[in-house]
Amino acid sequence: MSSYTPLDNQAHRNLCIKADKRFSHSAEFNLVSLGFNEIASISGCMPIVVTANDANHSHTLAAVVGWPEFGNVYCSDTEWMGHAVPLSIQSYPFNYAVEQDKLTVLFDEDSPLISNNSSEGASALFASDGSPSASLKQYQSMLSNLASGSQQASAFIQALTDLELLSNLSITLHFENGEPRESTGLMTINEDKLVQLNADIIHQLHTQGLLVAINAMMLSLRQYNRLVQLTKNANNPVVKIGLKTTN
Amino acid sequence: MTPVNSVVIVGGGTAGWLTAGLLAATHSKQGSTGARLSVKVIESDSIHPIGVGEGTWPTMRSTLAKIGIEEAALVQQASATFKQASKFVHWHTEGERTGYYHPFSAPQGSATVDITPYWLCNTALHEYASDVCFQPSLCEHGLAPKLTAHSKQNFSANYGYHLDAGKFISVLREHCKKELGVEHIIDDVTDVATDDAGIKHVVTKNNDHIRGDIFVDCTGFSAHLIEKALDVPMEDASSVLFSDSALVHQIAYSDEHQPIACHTLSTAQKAGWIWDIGLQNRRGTGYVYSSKFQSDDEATQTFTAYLKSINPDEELPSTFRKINYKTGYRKRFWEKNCVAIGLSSGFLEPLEASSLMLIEQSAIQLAEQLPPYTQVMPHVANRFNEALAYKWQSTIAFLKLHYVLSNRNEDFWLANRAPQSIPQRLASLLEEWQYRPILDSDFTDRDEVFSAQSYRYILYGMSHKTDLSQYVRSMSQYDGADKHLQLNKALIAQLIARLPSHRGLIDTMLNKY
Repeated sequence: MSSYTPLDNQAHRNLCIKADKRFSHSAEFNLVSLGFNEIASISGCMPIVVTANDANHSHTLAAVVGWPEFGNVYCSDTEWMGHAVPLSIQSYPFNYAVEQDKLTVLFDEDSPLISNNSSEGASALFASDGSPSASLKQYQSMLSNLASGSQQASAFIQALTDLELLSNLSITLHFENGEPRESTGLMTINEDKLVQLNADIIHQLHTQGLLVAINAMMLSLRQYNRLVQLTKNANNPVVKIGLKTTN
Repeated sequence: MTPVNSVVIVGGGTAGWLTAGLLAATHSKQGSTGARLSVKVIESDSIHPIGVGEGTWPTMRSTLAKIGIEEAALVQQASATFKQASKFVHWHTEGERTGYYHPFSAPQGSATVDITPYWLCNTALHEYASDVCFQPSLCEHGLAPKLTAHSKQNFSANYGYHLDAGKFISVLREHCKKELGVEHIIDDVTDVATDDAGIKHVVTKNNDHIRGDIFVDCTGFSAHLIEKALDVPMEDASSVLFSDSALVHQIAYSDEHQPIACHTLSTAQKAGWIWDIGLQNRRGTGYVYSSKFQSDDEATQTFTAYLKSINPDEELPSTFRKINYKTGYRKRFWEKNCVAIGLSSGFLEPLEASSLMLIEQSAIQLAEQLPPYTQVMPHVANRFNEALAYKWQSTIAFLKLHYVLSNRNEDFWLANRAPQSIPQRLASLLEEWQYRPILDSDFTDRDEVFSAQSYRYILYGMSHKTDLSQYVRSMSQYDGADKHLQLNKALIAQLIARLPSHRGLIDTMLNKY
């Protein structure tokens, strides 16, 4: 259970943090929310999709990191199985809240990565003068990238929605034991509609830097094969995957 | 031919041990005849070195690397901190600006273009050092010059050190004895015997006569060998630099976790200036003044007021330890078989931390050019004397620059601007610099110690007005210069987001956290 507390340089001046290069806290994740500024780095490693949230119609940009049967397939006992790690996973156990345009750093008090003593491999969050240490500054800068990336992601999704460029993505997993499972609830770029856009709009998307992101999202679906590959040592792995977009 | 196989260093302060370390490390192998260079340091245990908080130049990093001393040892054993700049406060009285920086890092883009003239043309810019270089902003934010202790692969700004001089000597001494085979003789030199070749031997209380092929005089102000035995007089420079006294004091931080300044603070006063050097657990401070312009009592009051302002709770003595000195340098640093290094070679006020720098430069030149045979020694000595005289003279001119640009109106400061007190070369350059920027080609001598860049930081830091109406004919890189000015801003933002505080870096190096 996570309980996020605002970080304070007096109350928490003796806390230390351990780095976990396996990011094991994310072992059960299937989807990870993504900032617009992460599309370039993540698209060559994980499929990037938009989640369809029917309850309140809010969509989020997300990276697919696993399925319920396997958990997060990039998490292994020894290492992180990809060359890129989403910022929200990297920045754990920190999180942020935005109040009056000011970023407040929060941290998970129950995280095993946080300790009160400087054990092996742990680094201080604060220097003795109360200033943030180099490692805390690294987290702070991740959080501020995360905050700006998430704002840009909302704007990006709004633009895709306005142009009706999103369509449902249905995925069929074929397991080794022969059983298939279909999963829905994700959206991707509708390629047909994209080709039909008029030159002015294409040019506009290009100058806004959105076109490259759209293309990256489409190409990133190839990374589903990587996920399939990563299940191969599990019980009843996925042996084949089918993707279908429907309007 | 008489081979030079033995160097005797008389005196064991910073000068003595740095010289011993550099000599022994440079000549660590044996010659073809099997002879090794013997390096002896005769150190009295009854004389205590003048140990105050001292600043070094970035050159100290390569000097220590040559000797084989690691930075971590300096931080753990000599209370060392990092120095990225000097900040001069109240050297100018008018305007909102109270201080300016002389950082160790070069301006943005200086490898390809000097952006100074473009900066001078840009009326929106006012703080030269901060506009052209990222380093003053790091100092203002109390940040370290690098990310971690071992940052060979990461970003590192140029830096030197602030040191506890007494502890620094111990680190040097231990290393020289244990690692470099320097012989340490604890004894008092009672007499010096001379002959035509110079010093024949020194007479000691407990070790009889000690002979050597070369003697290095590191006996400090007393100059036992170079002056008392060999009669080499001083070249007086007090008509250029007026200070002759220093009050020194070490003061605790008001809170032990207080941030540590990453620059030497130098605050102008009525008849001189106060240095303030942040070590790990205390600040080393001193008031350099001219006794002709302020009485000792009055100077004590000036110093007390400063110390009260930085730590009101500290109990201060009614009198401070005082050092009297004559500003100047030896007419000959190398006479016959004797070389003067350190205070025996001369003294300049520590405004730009030149004292350790001149020790390093002298010792490196001695080690590199050590004559193999006594027959060629006069040639080496001549070259050494020429080079060192130039270094001292150009240092004096650079220190004077700080004074002549001030607009303070106390008698001491007015006298400092009197034309007859300004070295001729400096006066001519200052006149030229009214109509053109400082050029790299203004300072091209092999023995130049302060680069054109240092002159720029001081001159434009003091908001010098330059009439470029003729010079603009040669200016063609406005866009490139503008890019560098923008880059500097971006770099500052990026570094502030990444670098730990100065104390934070020291903490990690002491394994405190």
